[in-house]
Amino acid sequence: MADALTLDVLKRAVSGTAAAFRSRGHLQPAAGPGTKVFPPTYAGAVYATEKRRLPGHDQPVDCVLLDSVQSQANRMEEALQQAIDTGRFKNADVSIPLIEVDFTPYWDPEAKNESLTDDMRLLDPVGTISSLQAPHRIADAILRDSLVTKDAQGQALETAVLFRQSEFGARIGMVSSRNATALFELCPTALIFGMWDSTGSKGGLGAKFERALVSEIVGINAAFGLRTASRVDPLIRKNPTLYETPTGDWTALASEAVQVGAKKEPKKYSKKLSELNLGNVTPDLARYSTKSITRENRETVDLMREDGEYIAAGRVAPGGVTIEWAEQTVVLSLPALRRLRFPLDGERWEPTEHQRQRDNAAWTVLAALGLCAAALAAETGLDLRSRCLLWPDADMTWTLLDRKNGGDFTLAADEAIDLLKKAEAEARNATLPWRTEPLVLTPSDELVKLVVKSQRLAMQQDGDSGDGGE
Amino acid sequence: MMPPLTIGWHYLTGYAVATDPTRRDRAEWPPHPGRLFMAIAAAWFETAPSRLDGGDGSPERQESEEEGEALRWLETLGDPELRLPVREQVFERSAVTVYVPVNDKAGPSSATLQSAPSITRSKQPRSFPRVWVGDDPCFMHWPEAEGVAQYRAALNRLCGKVTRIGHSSSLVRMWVDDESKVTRTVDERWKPDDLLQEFQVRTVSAGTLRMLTGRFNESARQQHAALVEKIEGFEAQKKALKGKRSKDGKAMIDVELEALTKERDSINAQPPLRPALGLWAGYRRADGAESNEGRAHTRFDTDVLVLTHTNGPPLALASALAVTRALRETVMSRGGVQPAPAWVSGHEPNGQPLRTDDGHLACIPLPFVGREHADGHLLGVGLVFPRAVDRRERGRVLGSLLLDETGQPRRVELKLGRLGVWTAAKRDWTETRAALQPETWTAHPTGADTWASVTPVVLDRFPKADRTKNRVAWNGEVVRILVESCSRIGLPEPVGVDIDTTSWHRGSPRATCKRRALRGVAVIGHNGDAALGDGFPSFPPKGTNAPRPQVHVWLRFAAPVVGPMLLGAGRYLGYGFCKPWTEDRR
Repeated sequence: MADALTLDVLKRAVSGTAAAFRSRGHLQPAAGPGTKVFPPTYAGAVYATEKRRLPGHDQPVDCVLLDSVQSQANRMEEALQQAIDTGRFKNADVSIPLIEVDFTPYWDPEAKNESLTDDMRLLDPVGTISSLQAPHRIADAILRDSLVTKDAQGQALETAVLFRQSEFGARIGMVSSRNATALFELCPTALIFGMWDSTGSKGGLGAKFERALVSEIVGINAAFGLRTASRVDPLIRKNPTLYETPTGDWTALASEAVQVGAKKEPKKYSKKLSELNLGNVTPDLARYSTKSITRENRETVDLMREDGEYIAAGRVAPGGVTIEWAEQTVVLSLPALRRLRFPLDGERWEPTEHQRQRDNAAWTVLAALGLCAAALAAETGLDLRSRCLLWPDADMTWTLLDRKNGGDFTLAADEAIDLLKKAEAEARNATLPWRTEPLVLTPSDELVKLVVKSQRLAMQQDGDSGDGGE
Repeated sequence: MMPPLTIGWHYLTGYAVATDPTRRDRAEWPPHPGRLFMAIAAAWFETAPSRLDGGDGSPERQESEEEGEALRWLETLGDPELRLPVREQVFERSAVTVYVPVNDKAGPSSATLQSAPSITRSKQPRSFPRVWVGDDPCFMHWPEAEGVAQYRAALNRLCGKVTRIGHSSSLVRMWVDDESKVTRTVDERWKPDDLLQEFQVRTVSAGTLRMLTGRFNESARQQHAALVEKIEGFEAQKKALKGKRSKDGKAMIDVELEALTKERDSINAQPPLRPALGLWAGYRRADGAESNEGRAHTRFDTDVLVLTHTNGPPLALASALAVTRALRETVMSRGGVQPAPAWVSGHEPNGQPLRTDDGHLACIPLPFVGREHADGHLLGVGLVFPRAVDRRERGRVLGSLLLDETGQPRRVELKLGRLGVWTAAKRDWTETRAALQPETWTAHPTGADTWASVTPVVLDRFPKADRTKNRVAWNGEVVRILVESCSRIGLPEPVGVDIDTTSWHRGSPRATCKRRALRGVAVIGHNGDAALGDGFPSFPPKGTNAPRPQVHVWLRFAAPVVGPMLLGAGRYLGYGFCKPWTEDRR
C-alpha cells in the first residue's frame, strides 16, 4: 500500500536528486471495458496512431492517442480554474495567483448601457478570461491588449495603462530562469505548463520556460471501428435539386431561381440539400472526402487496410475505437523546477542560505501546484470529448523517481489541496510574493472591437470553427 | 587500457519527441549524438550563474566552471557508440497536423479557443513527431575516454540537470553510468561507420560548445543592452539640462555619448541563431550475434541491404529475375572495386566458380506478399551478404555505388531491357513498409521455426524418379534434395518439409506457369503451348541442360532459425527466397 504524499517528502524530493514524480494510471471507458470511445481527429479526420509491444502479444498492437500533451495541460488548468470558481480553494483557505480580463461590462444584449456602441457590444457573453484559460498563459495577446487600472497596492491609477507597460508587465518582461519571482507571484502555472513570452517588447527573444509537467492519454491495443452516416427526413421523400434565388437563398423551384447563361437556365445553389441538414442521406460508412486529403495528411497510413497504403478519398475512415485500456502518463520533472531562481525583487541572486531556502520553498509550491492540478483533473474522471469519457481503475499513484529515496505515494484531490496550502504558507514565511487576489484587467477598446468582429465572423460562418486540434 | 565513459538516459514518459532535422513531419530516431550533446550543453547554459548573479567565487560558480570544462572535454571524445532499445520495440507515431492557437497573428478569426469558446483565435498547423521508446534506458558509450576520472563528477552533476532531449514534452532522466552497476535489457548497439552506414546522425567536434555560445550570443547582447541603457540615461539627462550652464553640461554628456555610441556600434548584438550542427556521421548496427545465442543462422548475414523502388514501371514478383540480374550486373560493373572480388562475382580470379562454404553476394526481390491484400508487386530489392565478408569490405565495394559524396543515398539505375528502367535507392531510415524491413525476411533477432518460399526453390539437381510415373518417389526425392539444400547454407535438418506448386504466402505466383496448348498458331521457337495464368519463369539452365524443376516449399525446424533464407540453385539471384511463416499450416 502506497503512503500518502506529505509535505516533508515533497520538500526532500524537490531539493534532493530525484528526477521526477510519475503517475501511470489505467483508465477504462465509462460505459465499461470494451465499449467504443472516440479519439481526437486531426487535420483530414485522421487519428494519431502508433504501435507498441505488449507482453503476451507476438505482434505489436495498435495504440491511439486519446488526449495530447497540450490538451492535457489545458484540462489541468481548467481543473484549477474550476476549483477557484466553485469556491473549493477558498473553502480550503487556498488561493493561487490569477490574472483576469473582465469582459462582463460589454455583454449588454438589451442595450441598457447607452455609452456602448454596437461594435463594442458582444454578441455572445465572454465573462472573464483568466491566465488559466488564455492559450499562452500570462504572455497571451489577450492580456497584452488589456489595461491595468489599479496599482500593486490596489489603488486606482489615474490613467489605465496597457498590461505590458504597467508595473506588473514591466516585471514580466524581465523574467528569466535566473529570476522567476515575478512569474511566481503573478502566474505560477506558467512555470509548470511552460510559457514563451513572444508578444512582449523583445518579440521572439522573450523569455521561454519549458514545461515541467507532461501528461498524455493513449488507448492501448486499439481496434478501429466504423462509423455510419444516414438521415431519414420525415418530410422530404426524395431530395430535389436546389436553385439560388435573386437574394442568394435557396429554392426548390426552378421558376423562382436566378437565370444564367445564354439559355437562361436556373442557377444551381452552391450547397446540396443534405448540407442544409435537410433531406435524406443514403446510409453509408463514414469515408474520407477529397477535401479531407491535404498535403499535410496525404501520407497517413490507412488504418483500415493491412497493406500500408495511404488514405485516399472515398475509402472507409475509422470511426471510434475499442481499447484494452487507456494509459495516462503524468510526469512532473523536478530538475526543470530546480533550475528556476527566485531572488527578491530588484535584487540579484546570491548563493546565501536564505536564498536557497526561498528557492526551495518556491519549488515546493510549484510541485504541489502541479500535482494538485493533475489530481483535480483526474478526480471527476476524464470527460475528453463527446463519446470519450474515461474512468480510472484505481486512485492516482505517484512514483518518485529517485535512485536513493524513491517510493510510491497516493494523493487524492483534497490531500493535494491541503499540501498546496501548507507549501504556500512556507513560501510566504520565506518572503516569497504570492498574490492571493486576482489581478483584474479591463480589455482595451480595440480588443473588445476585435472580439465583437470575430464573433460576428464566427456566426456568419455558421459555427465553422476551422480544423480540429487542440 | 583506457577507461570507458557511458552516459545513460530514460525517456520519462516513454516517448522521444524530437523532429528530424531533414523532415519536419518525421521524428528523429535514433537520437543524434549532436542533439544529446546540445541537451547537456543547454542544461549548462541554463543553470550556469550569469554575470548578473552574485556569489563571485561561490561553490556554484566553481562547479559551473568545472562543468564547462567537462563539456569541452566531451566534445573531443569522438562519435560514441549508441546502445538503444531494440528497433522492433520502437514505433513512430503517425504524423498528424495539429492546429494550435497562435499568439502573434492579429486580426479576427472564426476558430474558437478550446479553453474559452467565446473567444476566437487564429490557428496554425504544427506537428509534434515522436517515437514510442518505452521504459528501457538508452546509452551513449565511448569505449576509450582518457581522463574521464577528472570530469566524471562534473559530468554527472550536469547530466542530473538535463530535463529534456528535443521537445519540451520529451522529458528525460540522464546520468553518467557506472558500468559495473548496470543491468541491461537486450539492446541494439550502433557503431559509427561511414562506409556501411544505415543512417546518418549529427555529431559534435572540438569547438562545438564555442560555436553554440557564439550563436546564442548572450554576452554580446547583454553588453549591448547595458550600453543602450546607459546611452538612454545620458540622453534623458541631456534633455533635462536647462538654463545658463547647460551648454557645458551638454558638451560633457556629448563626449560620453560619443564614446558609448562608438562602443555600442562595435558590438555585434545579433539575436540568437538556431544552433545547426553541420557534422554528420554514418552509423550501422554492430554485430548482434551475442543476443542470438542458441539460434541457428543461415550463412547469410541478417544485415540485408535494402534498396527501395523509387521510379520506373511497377513490376510483378514474377519479373523478379530481371531485376535481380540487373542489380547483380550493376554491382559487378559499377562497384567500388574492379574487377569485382570473388565474394561479389562468385568466381575466382581465374574464372573458376568460387568453391567455399561461405557463398557469395545474393540479390533478392522484396515483394508485397503474405498479407490480406498482398498482390506480389515489387517494393524494392535487397543485397544479401555472406556472413564471412567483413563490413568494411562490403562498404569498400558498395559505398560509392549507393551513396554520394555527402553520404546521402544515390539513385541506382537498373536497366531491365524491354521492361524499362528501374531506379532504386538505399532505404531511408524512416521507411515503414514491412516488406522493406530486413527483419520481415530474417526474423532477426528471435528467429522463426517455420518458413515458406516466396520465390520457387530451383532444385540443386534433377530427381532420378519420374514425376509423371511415380509421384510419391519423386516427392520423397525432392524432399531429400531440399534437406541437402538447407545443410548447404548452414541450417540443421528440417523436421517438416512440404512442397507444392502454389506458394503458402498470399500474393506470390505459382512456382511455374501452367501451360495451355496453342491452337491454330504455328510459331517457330514455341513448343506449341503458351503460359496460362500467373507463374514464375523457369530459372535459366546452364549450357544445354533443360530447366531444373522448381517448387514452392514449406519448412519447419526444431528450433528457431534466423535468416535470410535462400535455398536451391537460384539462390544468388533471389529464387528459393523464403519468408517466416507465422500462420497455422493450411
